[in-house]
Formats: sequence, structure tokens, C-alpha cells
Amino acid sequence: MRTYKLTLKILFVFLTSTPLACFELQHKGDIGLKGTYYDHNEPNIDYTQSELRTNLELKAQLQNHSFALSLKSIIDKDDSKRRYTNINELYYKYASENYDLKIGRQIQFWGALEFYNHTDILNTKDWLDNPNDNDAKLGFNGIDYTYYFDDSEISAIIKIGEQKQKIKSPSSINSIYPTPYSANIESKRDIYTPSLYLRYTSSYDQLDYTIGYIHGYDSQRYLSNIAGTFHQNIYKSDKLIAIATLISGDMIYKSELAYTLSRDTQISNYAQASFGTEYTLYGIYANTDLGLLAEYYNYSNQKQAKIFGNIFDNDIVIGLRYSLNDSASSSLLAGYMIDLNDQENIFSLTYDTRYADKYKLNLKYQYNSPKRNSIMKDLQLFEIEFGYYF
Amino acid sequence: MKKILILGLLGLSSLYAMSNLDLAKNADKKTEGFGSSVSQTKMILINASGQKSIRKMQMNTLEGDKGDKTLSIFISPADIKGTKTLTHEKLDKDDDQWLYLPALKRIKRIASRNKSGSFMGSEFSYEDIGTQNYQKFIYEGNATQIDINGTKLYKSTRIPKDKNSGYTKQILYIDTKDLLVRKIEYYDRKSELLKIAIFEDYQYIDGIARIGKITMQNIQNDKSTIIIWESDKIKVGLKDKDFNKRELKK
Repeated sequence: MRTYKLTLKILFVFLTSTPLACFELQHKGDIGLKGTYYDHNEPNIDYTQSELRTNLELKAQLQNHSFALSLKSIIDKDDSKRRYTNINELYYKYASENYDLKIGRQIQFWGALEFYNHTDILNTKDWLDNPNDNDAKLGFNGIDYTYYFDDSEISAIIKIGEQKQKIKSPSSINSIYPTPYSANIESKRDIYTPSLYLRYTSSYDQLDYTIGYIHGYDSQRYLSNIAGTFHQNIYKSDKLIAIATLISGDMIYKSELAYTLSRDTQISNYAQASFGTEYTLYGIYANTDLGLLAEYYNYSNQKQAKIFGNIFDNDIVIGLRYSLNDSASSSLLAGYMIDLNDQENIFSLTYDTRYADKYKLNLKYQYNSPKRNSIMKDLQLFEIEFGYYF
Repeated sequence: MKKILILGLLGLSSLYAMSNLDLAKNADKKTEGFGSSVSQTKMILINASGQKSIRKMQMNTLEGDKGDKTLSIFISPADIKGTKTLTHEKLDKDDDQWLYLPALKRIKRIASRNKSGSFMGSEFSYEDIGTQNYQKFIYEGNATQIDINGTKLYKSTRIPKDKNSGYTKQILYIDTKDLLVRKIEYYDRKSELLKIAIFEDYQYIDGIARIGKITMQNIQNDKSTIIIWESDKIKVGLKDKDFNKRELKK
């Protein structure tokens, strides 16, 4: 109830703080229920998780000026730590003929691959929502200036402040950190020291590419134990990234490359490389399509004092997407991920469909097969999500 | 005398025969010259049981000599609201195409070669939705004149040049008076009749013919889709910059 009162207060402030009568208003959102059953043998860990989820986006636009607000609210039935409302976007944007200036809290996507994007580093992941969902993000505070040419654009982004990552209660199967854990971040410098992100994006024929340079806090964090409580630690780094998507006939080829120079003497430099390919078979049966996807992720570093639990260090993902192309836009998505170092693997199967043009149903099955002493739990999960979209 | 009469009659009839290629060029001219357009469309999907599902979208188009540019913005259903596709058509090679997923704030480059896939679960394929420039087809022989329910029509055959097309041929029925397409029969890769499209409710805006309604009936699965143009404005002054990737993030 407190969460929803806060949500209503935020909406009231947003709607009354600008002369919105002159603006063109747009809205979209969804509200739904999600329930998950975990079949596992872990002691003192919950078997179920259920929640009420709400997403709301508002946009007000008048000529070159626009304001945007994006909220996510989760009320977990059992986990009191998991009842929150996040303002993931609250920004002002001025769109000139050749440039955009965006000030405030925002979410951006950097990357090319489908399952995991190691170059998608601007936003911290929302682990309180779902640590396994790479699309669940926390908005970052910053200023984005992007200048547009005919076929390319260049961006300079200043990010101010690093987001704290809260996690679920220790009784949750998705509580991946040791306890006790505090979301307060440790850093040698002020966590509000700005980070600079520079990005150039262009297209040439069937190739889209991005080159980026980042100077500031690294997206990778390590844990330290301070007075018996675990904290995330951030450190400074310089990072170079390259992202590319190439269309060749019916095939799509993707890559993400990154090299990070650490500015912390206890953290080594590291390199990341991901490659992927995608192909769709149209009309394989009646009007249905089958999408095929294969991706590879690699992470390598030198021996160092700190240990990172980077699970995408030598992994392959194979995915299939079967689209029924019916009026309900139904689809079946199967994915299999395997770590080539230790054979740790995950299989998931998801079914998605729409009812009466306003309701969506999502069913998911997942099977984890972890290595010994892994942070990933040995389990099966069965999940159902039903939402109303407006 | 008889020979002169027969030769004369043959000569007269050849004056009225029109090649399929010339017919296609003349028919295209009826819908060319709109410069740019903004249209609001409603698509009604009807399954074999008669159940209906509605899709709404806005289509911005920029006419070009080497291919049109199109920005499609999906308005409903609500879960895909804000999804956009941007297409830069290339008459001599694969189109450049991007998809914007608003929930992820992600612009994704997609493959456009195979256009036989279903558009939004409808009976229209991407090939059907794209521009039907006459240069995309092969034409042979002459069109024939027929009469259907008192309406005189040219019956014309065209074959898609694209090897990845879902069709082996298309038969068009074009009104002899106004050279507007009234009906198209689509034949699948087995050369069997797959779909029939009926074109209705043409309106003239500044002398340019604009379609108002297309009904696509799939003969093989009894499903159909109707596209209705709820509003249509042409010569709206859109430029190349209105069809850059920047527009996807707006």
C-alpha cells in the first residue's frame, strides 16, 4: 500500500509540475501477477515467489521539448525487501534539428546480441527484480548530448552516481550474494564522481557499428567484507568497446568487443568478446516461422587479487524461436546455455501469447544444472505471468 | 478485298492491345507523385472461425526514385505500442531495415531479404505491405480485357524478380477507365492460388489516387485481413532526416 501511495504521489508531482495542458500526452503501461514455483533441495530457501508488477510510462511533448517518466513497481507477497517503486526514467529532452540533449534519469541500451550484452554498461541491473533478467535495469542519472549526421551520430554522456544494487532476502532462491549484505557501495572516491561515455554509431551498407570509450567507474564490481557485512566495491577504469551487426543475405552476424584498463591496482585488465548469428526460416509449417540463434561469450583476465563471478566467461547459447504468426502473436522460445569450462548449463522454455488484444500470458520452465559449489542453484522453476496492458 | 479488311481489323486491334509492362507503368503513375505521406491504418485480422483482432499503426512514407522510405509506428495492441520499423527500400538490392523495441530501448538491425513472412500475424506478408513498384516484377506479353459484373478490366500477369518472393506469379485486374488495381490473385511457390486481395475505396487527393481499403483473403486457410486507411495525408513535407534511425528513439 505504501508503495502505491508513493507511486501516486510521484504521478501527482509529475502531472502538476509542468504546464501539461499545452503538451501532447502519451501513456502506456501494464499491471500483472507473476507466480514462480522453485523445485530445489536447498535448506531454508523458499519454494515459491509471487508478486504484483506494474510498469507505467508517461511522456509529454511540446514541439522540441519533452518530459518522460517511467516507473516500475513490484509488491512481493512474502519478501518485504522486494516491495518497491523505482523511477527508472525521469528526464527532460530538447530535440534540435541536429542534436538531442537529454537531462535526468534514463535507461539506454548498448549492444547487438540477444541473450547477454556485456557492452550494455550504462545501467546497473535490477537484481531485486530478477538477477537472471538482463533486461531488468535501474535508471542512471546523467546528461546525454547526441549530435546527428546523415548516417551517423556521436554521443557524449556524463553519468552521475553509481546505482546501489539491492538483493532479495536470504530466503530467496535468487539471493546470490553471501550475507549479511549491504547495498551501500564502497569506493576509494566519491560514488558521485562523474563517468564519461563517448560513442560513435554509423551504418555502411548492410553493416551497423558502434565504437565507444568510457572513462569512469567500471560496470564490474567486486565484494568486500567490512565488519562482517558484504558490500559491493566500485573502481575506476578506461574501457574501449566495439559493437557490430552485419546483414548478409538472410543471416545476421553480431559481435560485441570490450577491453578494460583497470585503474585499481588490485584489479587486472580484462577483455570480453561475444559473437552471435541469427537466421529465420519462414513458413516452415503453414504460416509459422522458426528463428535460430547461436551466441558465444568470452571473458579473460590476468590473475588478480579480487575474484569476480562472471558467469559469461566461456559460454555458448543456442536459441530457437517458433512464431505461430497467429492473431495472438503466440511464440515459443527455447534456450540452452552451457559453460564450456565446467559444463554448467541452463535450459529454458517460454511460451507467450495475447488474449483479447489487451492481456498477455507468459509461461516459463527452466532447468539449472550447476557445477559443484556454484552460486547458481540446482533447481527447476515453473513460472506464470498474466498482465493487462494499456 | 477480304485480305485488306482482315489486315485492317488486325491493325486496329493491335492499337488497343497494351503490353503488361506498359500497363504496369501507367498504373503506377496513378499513385505516384505524393511526395510524402502520413497515414493512420487499422488492420482487422479475421480467423477461420470469424473471430476478429485489431491492429492500429501509423505509416510515414517518403517517395524516392531509388526506393521509398517508410517509418511504421505500432499503436495497438497495447503491448506493442511504440514498436517501430524503419525501412529504406532499395530497388536493386536488399532493403535496409531496423526494428525499435521500446521496452528495451533497443534499435535492432534486421534482415529484410526474405519478405514472405507474415506481417503482424496477418494474411499480408512483408512483401505485400512493401511498395509495389513495377520495377520489382517481370512482365511478358499483353494484358487481356475482360468484363466482370459490368466493369471492364485489364487482366495482367507479373512475376516477382526477387528469388525469395513467396509467389511464383500474381494476376492483376486493373480498371480500364482509371487504371487502378481492383484485385490481385497471388500464387504460391507450388503455383497454387494462395490469396486474393480486393482493392476498394480509392480517393483522389491532389489528383493522386490513394487506396482506402484492402481485403486479403487466404484461400488455403480461410483467414482474412482487412486494412482500412482511417486517415491519409500526402505532400506533408517529410524529408530524409525524418527517416533516420534517430526517429526510432523518439
